[in-house]
Amino acid sequence: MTFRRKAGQNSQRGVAMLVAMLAVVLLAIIGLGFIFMAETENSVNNSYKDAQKSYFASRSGLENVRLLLIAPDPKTGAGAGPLYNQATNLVMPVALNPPGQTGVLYVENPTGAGDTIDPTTAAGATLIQNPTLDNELCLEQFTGMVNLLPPPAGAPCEAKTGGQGLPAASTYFQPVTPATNPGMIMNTNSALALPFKWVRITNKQNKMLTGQHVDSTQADGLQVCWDGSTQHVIPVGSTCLGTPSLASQSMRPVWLLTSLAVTPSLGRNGGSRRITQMEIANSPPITPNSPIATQAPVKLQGSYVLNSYDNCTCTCTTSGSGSSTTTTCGGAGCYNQAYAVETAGGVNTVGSSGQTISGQPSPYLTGVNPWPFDIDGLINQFKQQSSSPNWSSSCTGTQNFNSIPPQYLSCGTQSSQQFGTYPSGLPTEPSPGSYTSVTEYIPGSVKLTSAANGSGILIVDGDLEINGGLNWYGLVLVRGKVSFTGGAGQSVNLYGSILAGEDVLAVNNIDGDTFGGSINFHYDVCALKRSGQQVPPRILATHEITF
Amino acid sequence: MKCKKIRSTGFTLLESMICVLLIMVVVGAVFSQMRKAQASYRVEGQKVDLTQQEREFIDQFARDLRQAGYPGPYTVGVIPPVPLNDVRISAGVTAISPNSLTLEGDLDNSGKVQIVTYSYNNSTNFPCPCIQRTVATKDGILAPATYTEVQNMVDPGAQGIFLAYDANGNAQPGLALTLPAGATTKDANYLQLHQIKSVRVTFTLQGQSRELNGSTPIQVTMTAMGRIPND
Repeated sequence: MTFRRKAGQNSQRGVAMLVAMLAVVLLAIIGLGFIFMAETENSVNNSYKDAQKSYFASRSGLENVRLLLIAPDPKTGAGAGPLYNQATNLVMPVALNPPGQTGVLYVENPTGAGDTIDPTTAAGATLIQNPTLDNELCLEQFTGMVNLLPPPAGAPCEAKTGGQGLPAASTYFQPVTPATNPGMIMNTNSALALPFKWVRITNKQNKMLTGQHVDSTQADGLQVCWDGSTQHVIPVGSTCLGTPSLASQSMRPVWLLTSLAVTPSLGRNGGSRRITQMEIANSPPITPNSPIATQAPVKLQGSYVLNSYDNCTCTCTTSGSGSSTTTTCGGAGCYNQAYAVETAGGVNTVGSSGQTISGQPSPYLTGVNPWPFDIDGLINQFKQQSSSPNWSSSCTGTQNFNSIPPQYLSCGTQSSQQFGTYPSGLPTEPSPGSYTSVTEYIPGSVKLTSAANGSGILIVDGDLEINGGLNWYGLVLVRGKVSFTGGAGQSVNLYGSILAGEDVLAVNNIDGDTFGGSINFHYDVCALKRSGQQVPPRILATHEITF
Repeated sequence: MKCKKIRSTGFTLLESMICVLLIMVVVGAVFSQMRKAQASYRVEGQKVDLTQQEREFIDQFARDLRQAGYPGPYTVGVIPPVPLNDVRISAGVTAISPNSLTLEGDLDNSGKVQIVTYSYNNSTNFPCPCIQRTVATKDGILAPATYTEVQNMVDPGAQGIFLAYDANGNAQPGLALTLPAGATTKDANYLQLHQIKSVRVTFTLQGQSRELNGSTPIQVTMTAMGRIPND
C-alpha cells in the first residue's frame, strides 16, 4: 500500500535551512575575519623578523670582514688578516683606476653556485631584477667617481646626488672580488651562509657620506688616516703608512665597510634588504718622538743620561770615562730627529751631572700645544689588551680622574716585578722570539722598587714612582705624575719611551714629572713598534644606511 | 481497506509556541555566543592595536639607538679631548633617567646630527599619559618638534621606562645622568654615559575598553632591549 502526497501538501517550508545557512555564513565570516587577522599578524611578524634578520646579518658581515683586516702582530710582523694587504693598498675610488690599482673591494658571500651576486652591473637593472645591486656607492659621493651611469627613475641616488648614478662593471672602475672560503666567512658558498651578500671596502675620503668633512680646510676627495686618536687628511699621492702624523708616528688608513644583507622573499613575504656601514682603522703603535714625553712639566735632576738617537737604527759608541764620557751616535739610516724630552710644559734642569744625547739642536721640545697624545684614550684602548687583571685585588681606594687633584687607586709598593721578559743582548735589537712582550695594566698609583723589568706596554692608571732600577723594553704609559729617581746604576733603564699625562696641579716644574738619580733612557723605535697586542681594527663609528 | 484521509493543515498554536520558544532559546544561545565572540573580537582587536602601537614605538626606539653616536667624536679630525658641543659630532646618549632618554645621532643620513628625547608625559589629558619623542637638529636650525609615540600609558611607577645596561650586561637601575654643557670626551658624565651599551624599555598601554570580565581594563605590556653599537 502506498500513500501519495499531493503536490503542495505537507511541504516543509520552515526556516531551519535558512537559519542554518545564515549561521554557516556568519561563522564563515567570523572565521575569515580571524584568518585575515592571523594573516596580517603573520605578515607583520615576518616582516619584522626579516628586517631584524637582515639588519643583524648586515652587521655580522661588517664584523666578519673587520676580522679579515686585522693588522700583523706588532712583535713578529706576521699573522695579518687575509684581506689586510689588499685593503691597505687600496687607492681612492676613481672613475678609471690606474692599472693594477684598486679602489673598491667587494667581499661576496653567496649561498652556492646558483646564487649570483652582482653589485656593480646596473645598466637597466632594478633592485627587483638584481637585489644585490650596490645602489649605495653613488651616495658616498667619491669625488673621483663622476659620470656614472644615470640611475633608474626614482632610484635614491638620482634624487640625492643630482645625477651621480649607479655603478656599472668595468666602465669606470675595477671592482675586485677577493676569493673567500669558509675559513674566512663561515658557511660561505653553502646554504647555511648568513644572508649578507657583500661587504664593500673603500678608503674613507675627506667628504663623508653625510656631507661632513674630517678637515674642512682640505679638499673633498683626499684620503683619511688614523693615528690612534685622531683622523687626519693626507695630501694627494701620499699613503697613510708613509705619512707620519707626528715626527715618528705613522698612520693607518680608515676603511669604510658597507654591508648589504638581503633575506629572500618567500610566498607573500617579500624579504628584507638592509645596508649598514662601519668606519674602522688599525691603531698604529704609539711612538712618541723622545724617550720622555710628558704633558706635565719636567724636572731633570742629578745624574741622568737621555739618548734620543734611535737605538734601532743608530750605532752609538762611548769613549772616555767619568765626567768626560762622550757618546757619539750615527750610521746609515740613523733616525736622529727625536728629542731627549718633549713636553707640553717646560723643562727644568737641576745640577750639571746630567747628559742628553740628541741629534736636535736643542734636546728639549717644550710647550707642545696642542698636546698630540690622548692619554686617557690610549689607556682605555690598551688596557683592553691587558692579560693580567690581578692587580685589582692589590689596589685600594677610590678613583676620580676629574677631581682636583685627581684621585687614583693605590696599588702600593711592589718590588722585583716582572712583566713578560726583558730581552737579553741589548742594545742589539732582540729577535721577536727571544722575549715575551706583554701589555700590563696597573689600575692605580704604584711604586716599583728593586729593578722591575719586562717588555711591551706598561700602563699605570695613576702616578708612577720608580726607585731601585728598572729594565723596560717598550712603552711606559702613565696617566698621572712620574717620579723616576733611582736608576740603580743599571746600564740602560728604558729602551723605548715613557709617555705620561697631565697632572692638573702641575703648574710649575716642581709639581711636574721628575727624572734623575742615575737613570739612563735610550730612545728605541723598534721597541715601541713591537709593543702591544694583535687586535682587530678599531670601530670608529657604525650606523645603518637609510635611504 | 479504506484509508482515512488525514488533513495536515498546519501547526497548532501550542506547537508554534513551542517551536518559537525553541528557536528563541537556540537563537538566544547563538547570539549570546556571538556577543561573546564579538566582545572577544573587540578586546583582541584592541590588544592587537595596542601591540602594534608598541611595536612601532620599539622599532623606532631601536633604530634611534642604533644610529646614536654617529658620527662620533673620532670621525672628524679633532684632537681629543673632543668638545661635544661640536654640531658635526654626535655624543651618543647624553642624558638618561628612568623616565627619559636623550641621544644624539645622524638618524637619517642627512648630514645633520639630531637630538632626540624620549620622555614620559604623565599628563592626564588624552592621549597622555604617554611617551613623547622630541626631535631637533643639533645646530638649532630645526626647532624641537614633539610627537606622541604611544598613548594612554599606565604609570610606570618607580621602576620607570628606561633601564641602562653596560657592556657586561649589568643593569644600572635608577641611573640619572646628564651631559653638562661644554663637556668634552674627558667629562666624567660622558665617560659614564658612554658605558651604556644597551637600554631596555618597558611600558604598558591601556585600551579604552575592558577585558571580557568587564572590570579589568585592557592592558598590554611590552619590553625590548635596544643596543647602542657605537663605541
